Amino acid sequence: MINNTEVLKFLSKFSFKPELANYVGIEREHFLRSVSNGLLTPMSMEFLKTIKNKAWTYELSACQVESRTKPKKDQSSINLELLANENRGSAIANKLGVELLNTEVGPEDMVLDVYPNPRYLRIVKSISMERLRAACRVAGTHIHIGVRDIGHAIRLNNALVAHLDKLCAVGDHSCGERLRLYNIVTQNCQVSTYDSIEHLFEVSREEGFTENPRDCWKMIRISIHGTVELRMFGATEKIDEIMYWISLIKQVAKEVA
Amino acid sequence: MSEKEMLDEFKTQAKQLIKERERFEDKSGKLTVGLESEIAIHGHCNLSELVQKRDKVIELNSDCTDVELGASQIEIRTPPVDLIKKRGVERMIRIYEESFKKVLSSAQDQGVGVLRVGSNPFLPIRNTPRTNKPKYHMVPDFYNRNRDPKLDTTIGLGKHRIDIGDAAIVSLFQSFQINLGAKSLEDACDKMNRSLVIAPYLLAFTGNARYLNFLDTNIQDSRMLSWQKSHDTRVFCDTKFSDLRIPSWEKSFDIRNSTTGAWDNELRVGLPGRYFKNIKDYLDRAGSFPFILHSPESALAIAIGMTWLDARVKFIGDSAIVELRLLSTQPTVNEEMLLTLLYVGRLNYSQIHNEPLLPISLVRENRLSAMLFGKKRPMWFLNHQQKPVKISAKEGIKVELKRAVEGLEHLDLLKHLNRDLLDLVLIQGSPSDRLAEELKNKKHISIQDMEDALIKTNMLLS
Repeated sequence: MINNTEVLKFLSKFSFKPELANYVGIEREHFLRSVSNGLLTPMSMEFLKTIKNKAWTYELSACQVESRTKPKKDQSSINLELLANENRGSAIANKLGVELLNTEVGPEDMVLDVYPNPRYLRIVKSISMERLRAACRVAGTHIHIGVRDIGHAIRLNNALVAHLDKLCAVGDHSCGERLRLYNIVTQNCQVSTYDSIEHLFEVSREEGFTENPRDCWKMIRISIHGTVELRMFGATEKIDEIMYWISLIKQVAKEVA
Repeated sequence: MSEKEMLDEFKTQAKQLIKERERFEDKSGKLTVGLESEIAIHGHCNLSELVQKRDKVIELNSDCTDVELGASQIEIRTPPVDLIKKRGVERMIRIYEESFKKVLSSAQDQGVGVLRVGSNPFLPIRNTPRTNKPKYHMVPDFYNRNRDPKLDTTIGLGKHRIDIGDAAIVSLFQSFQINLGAKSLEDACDKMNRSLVIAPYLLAFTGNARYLNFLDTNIQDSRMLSWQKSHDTRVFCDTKFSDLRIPSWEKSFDIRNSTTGAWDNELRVGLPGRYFKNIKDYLDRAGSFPFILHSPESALAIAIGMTWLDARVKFIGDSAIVELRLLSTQPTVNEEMLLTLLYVGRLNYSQIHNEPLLPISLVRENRLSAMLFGKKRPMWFLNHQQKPVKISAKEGIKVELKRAVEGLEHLDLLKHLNRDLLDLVLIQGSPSDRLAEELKNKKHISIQDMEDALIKTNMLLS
């Protein structure tokens, strides 16, 4: 039995912005590699202190940083922001004696230092070494596409789920290794389609993300930012490849617009 | 089979050209420059009348004009002129002005006007009329066939989204090209690499391709952006899912070995993935694309002709010529002469100081920023210690212009720089800005509105 108040409380955690429907935002995870010894190095805090830029943030692994773009509609302006982030990030990395490495799977023996964020420290305490290693080793490109409201979010989620295998294939540069590791990390990354808002709520209860939708680790998820987020794409050196992925997603989004 | 034949011939011709490198050595000390400026005719007539009138204008001015892809386009060209010879610049200005006046007069006699704008806002963006020559059908059609239909080909930073996905759209765009003689193949390669760096700085204050189909793209210069998007047939990964794969000529022909190395999967238009090591490297890249046309005896010329980079090297007779291609046609001959001198001066500065090349990833950002926003966003420049810094484009361009001035002074050409015009251009804003200012209060732009605005900004002469 679903309580309407509970559903409304759940929905209130999502912040939909109709004016940003079909806008696209990108999160790019990058490893930090020492120039001197070629090893991944836990310098995310130094990097972020030096770059002092809101487009850059931390990740669970202290060997990774994330760059992100503002929501944009035009692909060329997304492209420009990705270029700007990459160039600025590379310049700062260079100052620190490291480089941004856009590979989607880190080496098995990489250091497992965690960025000292309370949420991450809590997560790390509760997971096995195998999961921590897997979490540190994967780096992806997450694409957000803005939706008007929860109905639009569900329709777009469902439409994208139909293309999951293809999207996973185009975003893979490691013969599936990153997605295998991702499965170890999240354990509930399987996508879902939803028949209704109530169904989404039911799934959230079953899978434990009612209180905090950020705990939904599905490969395609409805994010609290009012977007549908696709998490199956690997890290890539090629910004034009990200542009191509965006084109594919927008093509699907057009069908449910 | 024809692609293989073309590639074999291309390789033979490229090898021969490099073997004969001494042929391209020019020890005359000249600074030879030739200009090509594309314009379009505009009038209230149907397409076939427009083509007839265009052809008539060309026929009457066959010594200084040529056809282009677009059915309304005319290319005005000057012969090569040695700028550092006594009265060289004056001679160039006189020739170019006379040619333009003749073309304008012929157009007026035909009852049409002349558009000096980077993007023709009057003609349709789908099935854009093309000159009736086989190559002008085969090449755009090839790209229309081979581009993934899923690619997002809409552009626009404002309320209008404009689909530029028909490769024939390039026939709406007019460019201004500066051709500069090189002293040798090595010098040509060096000049080309440096030109790739310089071009976005010039573009940042000269954007002139903002309106398409009567709509405001809000983009300073949509010309190369549209060209790139409509001619993008790259493949990023073989997914084994045919419905998601970009149709690939490489796969369908499967005739090439992997010797193209680092030049694999390049975009034919714009900026190369890296700088060129030498002319062989440049030719390797030129030969890595489909030839599309079949004429084995002209394989090298065809490959170079379709090298749609921001700067390229051409070979004409015994001359190696560097061509700057990123800039749109400017509203006046004087503005184009101003740009010519700034380019020549800035390039000379770069060569005499043996300036390091800005990392190409920074050039890529500069170029896109200049195309989208002109000089309204920060760009990367080399500081006085020759280190890359990202600063306000307005400030950086001031320094770039000082460098151009120093380069002109070194060539003893500074006296020809029209500083008043330069100041005016910097104050008034780019031609795109000027046109947008005229049209800013129009919700729906009519033919009359567009004509009035273009006349007021010197971009339509009738």
